[in-house]
Amino acid sequence: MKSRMVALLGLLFAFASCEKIAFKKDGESTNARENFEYLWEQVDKRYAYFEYKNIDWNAIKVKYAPRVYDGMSEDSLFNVMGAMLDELRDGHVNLISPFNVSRFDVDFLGPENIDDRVATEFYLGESRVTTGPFSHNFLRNKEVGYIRYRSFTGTLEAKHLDYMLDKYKDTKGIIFDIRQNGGGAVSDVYAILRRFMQEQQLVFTSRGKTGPGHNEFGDIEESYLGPAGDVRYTKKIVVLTDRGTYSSGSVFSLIARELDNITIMGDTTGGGLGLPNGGQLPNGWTYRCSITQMLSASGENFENGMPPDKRVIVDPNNLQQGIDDVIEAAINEIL
Amino acid sequence: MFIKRYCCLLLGLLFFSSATAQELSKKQIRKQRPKFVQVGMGLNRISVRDFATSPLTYTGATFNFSLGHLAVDSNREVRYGLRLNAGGAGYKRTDGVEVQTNANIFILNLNYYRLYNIRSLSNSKWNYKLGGMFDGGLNVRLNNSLLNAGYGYEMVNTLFLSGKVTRSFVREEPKTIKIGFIKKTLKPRTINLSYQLNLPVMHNALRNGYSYIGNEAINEPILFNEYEYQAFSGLRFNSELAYTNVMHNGNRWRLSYIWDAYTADDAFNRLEVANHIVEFSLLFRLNKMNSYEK
Repeated sequence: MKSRMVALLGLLFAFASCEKIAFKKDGESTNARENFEYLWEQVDKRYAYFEYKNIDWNAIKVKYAPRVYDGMSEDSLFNVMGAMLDELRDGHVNLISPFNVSRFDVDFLGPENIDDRVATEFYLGESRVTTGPFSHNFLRNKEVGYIRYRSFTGTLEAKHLDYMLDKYKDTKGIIFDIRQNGGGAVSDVYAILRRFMQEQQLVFTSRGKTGPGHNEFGDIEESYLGPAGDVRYTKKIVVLTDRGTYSSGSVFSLIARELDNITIMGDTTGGGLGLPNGGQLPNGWTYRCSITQMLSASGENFENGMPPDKRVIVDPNNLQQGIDDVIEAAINEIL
Repeated sequence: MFIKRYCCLLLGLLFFSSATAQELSKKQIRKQRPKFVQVGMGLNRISVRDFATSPLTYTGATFNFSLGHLAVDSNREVRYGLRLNAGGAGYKRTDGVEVQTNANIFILNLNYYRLYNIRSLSNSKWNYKLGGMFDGGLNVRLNNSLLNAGYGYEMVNTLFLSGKVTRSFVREEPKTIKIGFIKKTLKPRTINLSYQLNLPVMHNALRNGYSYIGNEAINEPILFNEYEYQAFSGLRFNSELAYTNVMHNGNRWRLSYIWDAYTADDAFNRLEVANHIVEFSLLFRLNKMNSYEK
């Protein structure tokens, strides 16, 4: 009997130890080279825009790998890996450590095409209304509505749009200003644009990585959007953009250009149409990089920025006079 | 070849154990077989590693709840039930700059097993059973530090070949023992010590596709969108060591150690999960005790 009991317990421990055999060895490491290699490889296999941006990722490894050495400080390692990621020229690529976050400032690719002080003081004015994440007011004898939207906060509610669009229902058009809007919750994009639509239509296409090859993508997926909401506005709308219009801001512009009643005005957007995933390095830091491509309804790729229908750049001299040339051009477009 | 042998052995044992009832009809046997509803609670030491998002192992604890229906006698054992684990796991770097990341974990398992007595090996003390088990599980993890990839979920389903050995310790008459000057009378009781080992025959996973996050964030959310079904994916080992005390009213209590470890493999997005559960459960008798049990 004893021998059977011993065998029973032996069996238990033998199988319990199988866990260590079946599982891979611990991946934790603070070794600088291992972390560099891991990050380079993950980005190599996952990033979606190597070919579109014509980036030689192997050459970038050759450039940065010699800067990594055993015993280097974590701060130095962060700087090397952050600089390597910046070579992708993508605001959706970041390295995140407890002491720093690397970023590529896409909005520095062009000048800010807005002076927020001018827009607030001379167009929104003191009588401006704040409804949820929006600031808005009438312009030109209540013939035009001006809505300033600085960030897709994710706090948007239907009642905000109901109130605002009802307020401007008798105007000839609305200016929807998303200059220097760096993005946020993409759900806000759909909630707003549905209010401007008359019928369901194809608004964009997308594809995701399906393998480690730089051009290994799945099938193109079509995305449709249709009208929704109690209060809708289908008159003329001018959307204002600039280089700081990024991520969800770019998605907004990409969809808006497909709607017949919307004109895009201002400067080229910043891009950021790839959906960034997230991951962790062997030393516990995290990173993200774009792993999908969002394309226009007809398949155009605007990751480097979508040009406006009408390019209008602010004149610094006029700004000093309290005149925003882009808003003025939008008013003229509507009237 | 290995699977073929498993199947032949299983079929042979099924045939062998089919001629058990001599005096009672099958219906009577089934009716008289002790049936229980099993309610269990415990703690699970969990470790999870999802290579799609991190090479690091997250370890932690989850609360474990289980509910099941069990029909068991020396000839047959059939159980179906569910197991729920909810809690957290984390990673903490121990050297250099402090890094700590945490994940909320939720696991739901549905399982069913059916075991048949191996009469040629069993006797009044040792009982051997063989059969099969199915376990279907849904894992959900929420880890905000992984940004858009912070919400991970997958399904892991396994068909097992199961073996169980039970050693019964039965005291039929009261027994008096003397420890020093103290005399103590031990009441009649039955204790079962059992070990069930489940080895995978078919282990499947429904896992995220290559890009992990897919296009869910920009399209209408669809569950398991762009997921890939991986048949015969990875390995799984599952076992339960249980100490069961049979009470005089027919109810039972059980203390178990359950070990469930598995991998779900593909070339890039391997998953490793290990559960070590210590569970206390009560088994409430649903049908009347038979005369020979009293």
